[in-house]
Amino acid sequence: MSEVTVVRGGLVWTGSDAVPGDVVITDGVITSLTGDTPADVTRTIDAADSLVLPGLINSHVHPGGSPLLRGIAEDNPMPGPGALYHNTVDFRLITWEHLRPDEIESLVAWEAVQMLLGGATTIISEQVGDIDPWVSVASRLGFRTDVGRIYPYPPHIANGAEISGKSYDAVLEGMQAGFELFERFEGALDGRLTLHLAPHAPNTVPTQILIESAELARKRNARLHLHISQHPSENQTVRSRTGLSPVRYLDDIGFLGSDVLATHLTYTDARDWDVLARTGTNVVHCGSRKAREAVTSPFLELLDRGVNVCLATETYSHDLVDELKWSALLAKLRAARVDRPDAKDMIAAVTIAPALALGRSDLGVLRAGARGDVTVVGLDGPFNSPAFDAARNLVYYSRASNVRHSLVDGLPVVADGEVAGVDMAQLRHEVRAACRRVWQIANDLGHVEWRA
Amino acid sequence: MKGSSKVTVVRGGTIWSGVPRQAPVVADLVIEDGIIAAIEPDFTGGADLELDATSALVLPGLFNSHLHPGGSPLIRGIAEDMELPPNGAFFHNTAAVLGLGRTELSLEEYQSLIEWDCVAMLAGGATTLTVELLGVGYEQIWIDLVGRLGFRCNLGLTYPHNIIKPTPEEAAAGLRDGIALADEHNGKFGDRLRVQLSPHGPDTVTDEVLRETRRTATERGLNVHLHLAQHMGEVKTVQDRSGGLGPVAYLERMGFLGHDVVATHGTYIESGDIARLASSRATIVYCGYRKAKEALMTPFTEYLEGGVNVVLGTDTFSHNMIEDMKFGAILGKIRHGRISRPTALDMVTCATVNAARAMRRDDLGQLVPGHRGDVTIISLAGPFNTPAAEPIKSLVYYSTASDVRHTLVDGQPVVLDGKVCNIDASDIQRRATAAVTRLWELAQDKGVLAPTW
Repeated sequence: MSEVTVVRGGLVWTGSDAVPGDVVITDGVITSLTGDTPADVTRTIDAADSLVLPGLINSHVHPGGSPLLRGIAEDNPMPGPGALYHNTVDFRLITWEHLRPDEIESLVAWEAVQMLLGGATTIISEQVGDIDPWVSVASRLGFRTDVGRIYPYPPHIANGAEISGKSYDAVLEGMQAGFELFERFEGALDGRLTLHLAPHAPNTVPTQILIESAELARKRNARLHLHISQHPSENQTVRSRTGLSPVRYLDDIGFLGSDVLATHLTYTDARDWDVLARTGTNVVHCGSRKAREAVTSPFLELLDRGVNVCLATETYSHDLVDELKWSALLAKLRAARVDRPDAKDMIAAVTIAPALALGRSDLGVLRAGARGDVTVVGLDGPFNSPAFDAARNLVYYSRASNVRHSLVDGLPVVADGEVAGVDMAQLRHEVRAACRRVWQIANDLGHVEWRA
Repeated sequence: MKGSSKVTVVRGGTIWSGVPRQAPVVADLVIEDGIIAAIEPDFTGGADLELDATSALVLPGLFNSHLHPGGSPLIRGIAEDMELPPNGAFFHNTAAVLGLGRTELSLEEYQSLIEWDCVAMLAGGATTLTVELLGVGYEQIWIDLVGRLGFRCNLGLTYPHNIIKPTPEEAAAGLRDGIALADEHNGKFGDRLRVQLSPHGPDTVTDEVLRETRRTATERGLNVHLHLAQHMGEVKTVQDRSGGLGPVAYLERMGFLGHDVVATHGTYIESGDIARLASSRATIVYCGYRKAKEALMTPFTEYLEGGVNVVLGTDTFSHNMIEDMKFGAILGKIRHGRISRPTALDMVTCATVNAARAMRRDDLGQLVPGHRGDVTIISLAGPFNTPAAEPIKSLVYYSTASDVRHTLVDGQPVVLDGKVCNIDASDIQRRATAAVTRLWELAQDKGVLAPTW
């Protein structure tokens, strides 16, 4: 017998409009938007006073970091021309060196909980270290994920004028380890798990390994995901090696294309943007994350050139609904115009744009035949109701606390604002203990001054 | 404790006192008859009300220092994504809908808008609301809310009422109404309600009425609250009137500025204005998040570093004070390309200590014995803000309104377990939604509101 889920009584997002309707999902696939409900319904999801969206896609995260790093680097001076995370990279290393696998899984699960409460149903993860804890959490909590294991890690083992000898070998081993995951996890989690290759960035991965990465990924029709122009020192390194900007260098070696997801592009110019448009490279924009470094990244400049732009929360606050507002307002400030980007641009960047980047015509839209991935956001709170325009009230006035339900393949991942299948009190207890241990070790090693 | 006194205990929280350089401590906060009596570990006395603050941050009650109740439910999502009118502000695009709300809605309908807006303000973590009431005849609605819901308020009636087409007569009449309001209501509800004079701005109020406002405020010891350097249209009007002076210099020349003046925005300032404001000891209300909706940034770090007293306000839109602190901090950093200032501590100080200074109150803004028992308690136990390595940074950068657990004014609950007390929020919501929906339909029929699709 078929399993039928009906999302009833909400405003359904068509991609350009919000119209009253019911979404019927049969055995994981959307079968109707017209209210033709089968006789036997397994579960009904109440979407009254809510906006029903295609399951949101968070296009770039590094699970495991956020609980440890939040509130540590903010307000401190930046480490020269580096990135915010350079202030906290020691915590990651201590985690992998000192914590037990169950402790790491707790950290990763706590972060997954945030991402799911933040509205995401698909999470594109650039995993730092072993991916097994993340896969285990995805299996338990039921979300969809596209995973790559970053190489090299830590990234600074292969930075500088030239990458050779031991550090070259380390990056190569990282690529091979990342590629072996394809065999190991083929078809895992009923198709909810897919894999990509995740070379870290053009300054930390040698040219030959970037080229081989592209060949390996393309052979398997998998995606390539990397950071580009994340901080000024990356640009300096690539320019000193090649005389080119990171974007033009990657174009030069044939790396860019519509199967590439490139994150940040903060320190880029109009020539770079034209290259991204010409090659069809997908860009992942992390507005609030970069704002923590007191900078903005191009967004409207890319949209106006026809670049496919996706949104992500990266390491810090994983509230993807809140991110819509942050990235919209920061882009308006950058462009000094109020009318663009607009609410529809923002919703596209967490639905249809990342689905396109992943090559998935069955995600990011609500239509018959698409996967039954749905995010239901209540427009009934004191901060976001009443709503003249559901899309604008979603983007400018909603946040994670308004996320009421989410479904993946028609099955509940978030129900009534709670992540299904998690003992929050127990998990919180485990995460606090694990973080205290890392902070204490960092303190003892003299890496940070931390008040216990 | 005396047998007849009323005692509230906030147990086990991390207390940030607001006293400079004092680190947060885990302790119990004891409030007796509305006044903070003690901050001590493991308070053993009896209490009439015990509030759990474990895994929570206990702050001096937050001040939302610039609000126009009734507007937000009506115009949220209307002006966003629209082009700004030339030299105008965001609100100019919504003026027709707001105006229609005042002429077409019944008093009961408008009351539901004001009440629903107030629910958001209190759910957003503020215990003191500084209100510039726009429109005629709504003051009793608001005063009743202050009495019933138990929050602290500075209330002013904005004059002139029509700020789009201001007239000198209306400005003068508005000042008289403001004085009458002060005579009747200042100090009401055990001094929870204070009245201030609220000339709208230096462009919409005549020179003469501004001078009269200044004299009256001094005579009666009232605060003055106005908009200042809000949009370019204002700057041009003042320049035309004053022979080329900017709004701040114009008010300085008039002798208007002083430690009893609270001025909102201060966006379009010129060289010397920061020194003018600092030396006069006037206060600037920073509405960073609100101005970001106009795709612009307003000075903030400049004021902090220039010695101006700066406080925070949410103005007409989202009344989430924690979100306002986060946006304010990050926009301030972006404006200067510098991550290290403003800090989380700057934001919390603006929302508490500085705001009490603007009100000229030495019994508010800090959690120390002898101060009023106004408290905001924020949970740091949620998935987005736990664990909290640095509680103040976790508050500002990772918390939001849904983390507001309790608030107290004079030791009495205003928000308990995230719910605003003494009001049926779902009933208010139902009535506000009906009123707003009716008005939007009417506005579309009259052609002042275009459907978005």
